[in-house]
Amino acid sequence: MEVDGAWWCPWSSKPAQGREGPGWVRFPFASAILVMDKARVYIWLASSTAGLILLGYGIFARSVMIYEPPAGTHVGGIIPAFSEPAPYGAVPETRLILEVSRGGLTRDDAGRLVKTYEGDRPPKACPT
Amino acid sequence: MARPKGRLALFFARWLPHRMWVQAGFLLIWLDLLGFRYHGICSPVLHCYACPMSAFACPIGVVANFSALHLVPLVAIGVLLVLGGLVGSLWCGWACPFGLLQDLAAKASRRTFELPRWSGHFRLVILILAVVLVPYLFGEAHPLFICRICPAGGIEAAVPSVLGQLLSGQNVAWPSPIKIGIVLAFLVAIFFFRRPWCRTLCPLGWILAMLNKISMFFLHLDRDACTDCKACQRLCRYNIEPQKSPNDLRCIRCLECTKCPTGAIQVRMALQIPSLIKPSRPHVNPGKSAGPQ
Repeated sequence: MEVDGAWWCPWSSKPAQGREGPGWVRFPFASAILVMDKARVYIWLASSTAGLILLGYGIFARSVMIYEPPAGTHVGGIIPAFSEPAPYGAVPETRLILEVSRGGLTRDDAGRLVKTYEGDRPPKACPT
Repeated sequence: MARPKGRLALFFARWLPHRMWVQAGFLLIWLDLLGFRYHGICSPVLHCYACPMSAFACPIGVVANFSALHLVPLVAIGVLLVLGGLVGSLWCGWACPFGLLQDLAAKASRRTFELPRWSGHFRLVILILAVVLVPYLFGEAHPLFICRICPAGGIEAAVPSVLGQLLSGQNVAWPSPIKIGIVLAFLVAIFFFRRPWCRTLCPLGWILAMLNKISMFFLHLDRDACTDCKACQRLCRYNIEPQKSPNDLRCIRCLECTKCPTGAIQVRMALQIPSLIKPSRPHVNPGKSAGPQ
């Protein structure tokens, strides 16, 4: 079988005339990409890859166990020390962000993440 | 003004006079006008999630609250690295709703005063103290917790909340006196200084400005074309010297400096795809004949 592109990317196009000089790299999704500033590109690629990994892990893989106060024990978001919170479940980070955006999470003396409200409706929209 | 080189530079040169309209257009995304409300993801701009119309979560608020809960905010860091790494503080200059408010006030102002250059370092102090250390050590109830002193939260969240309570006849939960004082001081300052919050105190602005150094989108200074006429410095409204440092830490990338008469400062992408970004056609002056006489 005749292969057009490089061995690692046979579906890429043939090398075009005039695009073989230094500074040109081949990608499967474009005929060629001109590297303007090598140091900037390498640092950007590293930071963006790190960002994508963090983002992907935070959205799809991370889960944190949170607890909720027993019914009728919390008063205005303050959880009494004597109440023992019940496990609510492991939630993804997007849910954690949603909860902190409405002041819906706190850490109790035992180090557990506890919801500051019962049910699904938070007591207030503004945490501050 | 020299003709912009490349399609990207031409695109921004065309939109530069309408930058404020672009900022206003971004409100369709940051506000809930399109009915897309998702507080589980951060936006790359400073927009308080307690605002009744906010579509996304504020990254600084998320970092501070996660710090108070002793959690690492992976999503917020990831969003800032990916989106900030793409265009840096172009988000501040062209998309931030809080920046738009300050720009509108500066437009209405007759005279603005200059801020000292060293004042930009306060942003790092705010980031370390009010966003990370104070929440981590003392929790979110401390008066120096960023959300308790942030004027964006005061204007975008507390004011609508208080107005809503007043109009509906409920008991009004007034913000703390510190927050009211900060909001009032901010509302006065924006009429006398250009973007006082962004340039001196915004922790998100400092993070995005740091990413200016590595971002895919950047300002390129052609030192051969630069005549050191300082026209870009006069065009810059934020007391920066673009001819020395085009990707400065205090730059919000309003791109006014790209109006350089010799075309020495141009917007660039570190990676250019030639099939998408073709060089612009050579400029032909209609007053002169192109061919030899």
